[in-house]
Formats: sequence, C-alpha cells, structure tokens
Amino acid sequence: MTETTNIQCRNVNVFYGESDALRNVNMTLKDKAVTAFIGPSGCGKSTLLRCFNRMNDLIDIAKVTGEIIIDGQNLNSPETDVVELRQRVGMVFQKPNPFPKSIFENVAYGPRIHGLCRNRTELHDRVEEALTRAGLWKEVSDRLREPGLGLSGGQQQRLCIARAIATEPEVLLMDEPCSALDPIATTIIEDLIGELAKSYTIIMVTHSMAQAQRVSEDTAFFYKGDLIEIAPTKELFRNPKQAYTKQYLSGSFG
Amino acid sequence: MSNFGALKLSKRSARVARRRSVDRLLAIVSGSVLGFVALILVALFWDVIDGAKMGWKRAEITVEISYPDEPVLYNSGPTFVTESAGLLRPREVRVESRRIIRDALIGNRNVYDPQIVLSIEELTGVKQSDFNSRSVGLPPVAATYEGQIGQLFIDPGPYFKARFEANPSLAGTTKPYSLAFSTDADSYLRGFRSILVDGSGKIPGSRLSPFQRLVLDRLIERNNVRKVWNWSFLSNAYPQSQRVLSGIGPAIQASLLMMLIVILVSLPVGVGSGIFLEFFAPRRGFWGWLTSIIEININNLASVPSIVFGLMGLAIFVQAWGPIFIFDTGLATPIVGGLILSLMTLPTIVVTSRAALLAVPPSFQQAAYGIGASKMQTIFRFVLPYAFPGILTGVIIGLAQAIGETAPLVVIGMVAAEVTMCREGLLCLEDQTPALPTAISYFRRFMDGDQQMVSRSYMTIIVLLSIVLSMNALASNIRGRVARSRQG
Repeated sequence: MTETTNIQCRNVNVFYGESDALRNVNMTLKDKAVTAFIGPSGCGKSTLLRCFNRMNDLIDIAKVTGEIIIDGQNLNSPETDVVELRQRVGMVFQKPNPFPKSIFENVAYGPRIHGLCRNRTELHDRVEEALTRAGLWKEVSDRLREPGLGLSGGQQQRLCIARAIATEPEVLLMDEPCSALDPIATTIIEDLIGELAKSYTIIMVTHSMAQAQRVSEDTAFFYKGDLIEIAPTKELFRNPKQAYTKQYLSGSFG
Repeated sequence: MSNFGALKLSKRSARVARRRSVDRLLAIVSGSVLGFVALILVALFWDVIDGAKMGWKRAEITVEISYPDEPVLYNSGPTFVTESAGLLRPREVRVESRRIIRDALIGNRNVYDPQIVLSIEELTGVKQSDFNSRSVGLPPVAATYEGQIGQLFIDPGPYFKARFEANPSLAGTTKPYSLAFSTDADSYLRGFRSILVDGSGKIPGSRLSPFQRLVLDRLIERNNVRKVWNWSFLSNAYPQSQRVLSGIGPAIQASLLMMLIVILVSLPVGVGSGIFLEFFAPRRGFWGWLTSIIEININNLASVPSIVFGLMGLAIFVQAWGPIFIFDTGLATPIVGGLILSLMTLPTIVVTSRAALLAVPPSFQQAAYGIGASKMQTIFRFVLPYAFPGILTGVIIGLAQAIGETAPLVVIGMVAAEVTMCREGLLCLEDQTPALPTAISYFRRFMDGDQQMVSRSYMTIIVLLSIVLSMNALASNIRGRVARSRQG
C-alpha cells in the first residue's frame, strides 16, 4: 500500500447497449478527501461511481472503456481481480441494505470472505472497530446477535458503512447515502462522513447541493454524460466556470 | 373566516349512500362465497370421516390357550372347511389352524396342540343340540357344528405355531389370547352391512347362518366381545383372505419411498435448474434463443396431463431402460413410480424456485457483490437462504401433488399389485406394491356393498390427507421461523 491513493480517470466511456451513458471523462481525485458528484438525474454520476468498483460488470449490456487508475494500476483492465478490488473499494448504497443476518454477521462477513482475520478474537475486534468508526458501537454493542434489519433507517445505513469499512478499504463509494433518511439521521451520517474522510478517500454521489457544500472538499458536476466541471467545492459553488454549472446551481434546470 | 366556505361537505349525500351499498354488496357476495367453500370443505371431511368409521375398530374376544408339553406333528389330511381361506397361504397351515379352532371351540383338549382353553358352550350357552335343531341355510357355510363356529374367527393357527417354534419354553403354559372375528362375524357384531350373497343385501351379516347369528348374539349379550382399535390397518398388506384384516402397510411404505425419491431427484435438479436459468443462462445470441426455448418448455411441462408422464415412464423406465438401469425396474415398483413422479414434480419446482429467486431484493445481491463476494458466495450465502422459504413452498406443493397423483401409478400397474406385496425390510424399491392413492381406488372397487372394504378406502384417504397436511404444517412452520429470525 502506497502512502497516497491517487485516483485518475482517463477517457472513461460507458455504454449501455447502443446508448452512451458517459463520454470521455478525465479527472483526478484528491486523496483522503470527500469528492461529491452532483448533477441532474441521468447525468451519469452514479454510473461513474459504479465504475470505481466495477459494479457495472453485473449489468450484461454495460461496457466500460478507458482507464481508471488507482496506485498506478488500471482497475478497468480484464486482469484486475474484481473481488480484491471490491475489498479495497467499499460501497454504500442509496437505500440501507443490511443482509438479513445479525448485526455482527453483517459486519463480519466481509473480513471473513476475504480471509482478513485469523481467529474469532481478531474478527470480533475488527467488527468492534468498524462499528466504532461508523459511530454505531455504543448503540448496538449489547445486541450484536439481533437482526440488522431490526435497526432504524439511519442505524442501518451506519451499519452498511461499518460493513464497507470492515474490509479496510482505501476508497469508499457512497451512492446518495442519505436520500432515504430523515434530517437527523442525515446529519449524523454527514458528520460521520467528515470523520471518515480523515482515513479514506470518499466519493459521494448526492442530489443535494447543500449536502455537497457541507461535506465535500471537491465537487464534480455532470450533465448528460459529460463531466462539465470539477473544482474545490467552495470555488465551484461561488464561482462556477462553465455556463451549465452556473445554470444548474442557480436552479435553471435539474 | 374559513377557507373552506365554498366547499360544502354534505354528510350523507346520495353518492355516499350508493358507494356504501356497493361496498356492502361486495362484502356479502364474497363472504357468502367463502362460506360456501367452507361448507363444502366441512361436508367433505364429514363424508370422509363418516365413510371411514367402520374401519376404526375390530371385534375381538379374549380366550385362554394352553401350549402342549411338547410339539406334536400336525395331521394335514382333508378337512371339512369349505371356505377358501386365502390364496397366499399353504394349504397345510390352513387345515391345521382350522382344526385347532375346532378342537379349541368344542373343548377337545387332548388331540391337537396348541389348544385354546375355551368351550363354546361355556361362553355362549349354545349347545350342539341347538345346532342340530336349526337350519344351517346358505351353501358357502360349513355344514358341521365345528365348521360353523370356526368360520366366525380368524385362524390363530399360524400365530400359535410361530410363537411356539420361536419360544419352546411356552410348553405347558397357559396364556390369554385375543381372538379376532372373521369379516362376516365382525360386520354382524358391529352392525354393518356385509357381502351380499342372497341379493337382497340389506340384512347385516347376511352370509351368516341363523345358528352363527345365534352364537354371536349370545356373545354380545354376555359382554364377551371387545371392540379394539384397528391398528393392523396401518401395517397389514391389503390382499387378505379376511377382509377385516386388510391394510395399507406396503402402500404407506411405497408412497413414502416414492416421496423420498422425488426429493432426492427433483430437489437438486429442480433448484439447480432454477439457479442456472436465473443466474447463468445466456440471454443473447443462439444460446439465449435456446434458453428461451427451454424456459417455454419447462412451463409447458407443468401442464402436461399426469397420465402422459405415466406412459412416458412406462416406455422409458420399464421398457427401454429396464435392463440397463442399475435398479431392477419392473411394473408397479416404487423406483419406477418415484422416478415418474420426480419428472412430474420437476417443472413445478423449477418454476417456483425461479420465482422465489427472482423475489430476492436485488439490493442484497448488490450489497454482497459490493463487499467483494464472488458469484458463488452471493448465490449460496445470500440469495439461496433468502429464497429458501419460497423454494420450500414450491417443493412442498410439488410433493403434495406427487404423493396424491394416481393416474401415472395406475399406468404402471400399482392398483393391480394386489397379488404381491412388499418383502421384508424397509427398502422395497424393486418390489411390486400398491401406493396410497391407488389403494384408495382398490378398496373403492368393492362395490358389492361390503362396508368393510369401502371404509378402508376412506381410511386410506385420511392417512393420505394427514401426510399431506402435516407436510404443509411443517412447511409453514419453517417459513414462519425463517421470517421471524429475519425481521427483528
């Protein structure tokens, strides 16, 4: 593992069958920081996010071209081990989706399939650490054997974050992690994201421009499959360079 | 100042009244349909239980038997017994047992062994002189006093002989023995219609002579007759010389065996096919076309009439593959029946397990892939366990269908398998046996008014229904438990 996890996209194109969902995306993402992807629905921000852990492989008709480079390694090449990649690049989904298993099992499953722990004590320690980092340990430490689906929506989402960081990834992908949550749970998750950004590179898709401003360091704006602009968040919101960005931020469309 | 000033909300407008009357009509119609269905169900169960009630019990009397001091050779000479006492038994045994009965009943304790210490005079007060003074009547009845008495009971001879041979220390002892009544006597004692011999048919025990009826009446008067539960129905084979003893032991065994075969064959193949079609089957190009052809045909298979499966099984398993199959696949064997039922159940299991797999929320799969689970891990650790209750439901539906299926078993001759029965031991894959549904039809064929046999048809229905219902109960129990453990 190198010190910096530099992520670069070079000429990334995504096709769904005949139609192209993303065209020629080139960008460099900051290490150990939150980058927010914003844009109207269907602009390709989620599609790009799913390229970083090759989730597009699961869609038969999807085809990804170009290079996505982490640590000088092109993860889009056929030689990349997808299983190892997904250990290093964790993902949190739009709707909280804990497994229908116990809280402990939810978090322990990742380390277990990747063989990260040698024995029960290590596994337990790792689960505790992940839950602590996700800010959930205090709430669930006495009921680890209860089903994960019994938690509240915000707790479930934090459980999913704990599950994602239990495999010790370097990058965390978050696909609108707060869109199914109430404002209080959203605040908790946003604070958590800020905390996690100290140790992980986080890429977050969001519909809320306010959230992007609150949480992210950099923001990328997408429109109809093109990356229009990427800049430090404050700069992008205060002083957008592109006309589309300006219009979107002022609410002309989207 | 109300903003709703313009909006008038009338409490009971004509529209509201109309809507409510329609709602009420719908409730009444659907409720009465449900009530009608419930009524039919109750009538069905009542009919089955009523039809079966004759078979619940059997009449017996307790007699004392004395074993002789040492075994004596039997005389197997000609006999007075005119009743045909069973196709399957060696003639000698029959003769011997008849003579035992006779000797026992007339109190002649010195000639034969083992002896029943029982005097018919003692028990009934009917004297030999009474016999002489009354007409014997119908031709199939034995013409002697001993024969008349002997016909009222089921031969205990083979039982005594076997007991004595197995345990010589019985010599010289006296033991109580429950002597079962013959079919005709049993029907008479319990007030049911027996075989119609004279054609008029409505008289209980019409095959019994007036003398025999007198003896039985006396036994009832003196409270010598016990009515006991007919447990032997569950273990005996059905071709019995005495219909009162006929049972469905081999049929139960064969049906359970066939279910086992169905589980062993259709469950892995069916669920495996479901997984393949849902997760691995190609969707495009030539192979995709082939997949869709296969899918269409699986759905069609589920609606093929069962008798067609029977004929196909007959052709494939009995006629074509018979010699090369690892089992000796003959007509009316559970192995052939089980394989046919497996083929029939397969489409049901494939279709339902695909539906169950499809119903697994895609978010679980995404989550599993998202933390780096392989396809195999995702399917076997997440998708399959989640789909398990649905798959189980399909399997149970298929099994319940299979165990009640009659037509294909008729085609391979399981109804006519009354001449042979399951051999000793638990596994009789290669023996000719009846199955439960075919046993129902077999017993029902005794349309000569013999309630003994017709009631056994209903009793078989009860056994079959209890197996199916307990399977369903098990399935819903497992489903409930899985659902509880999943949701906090």
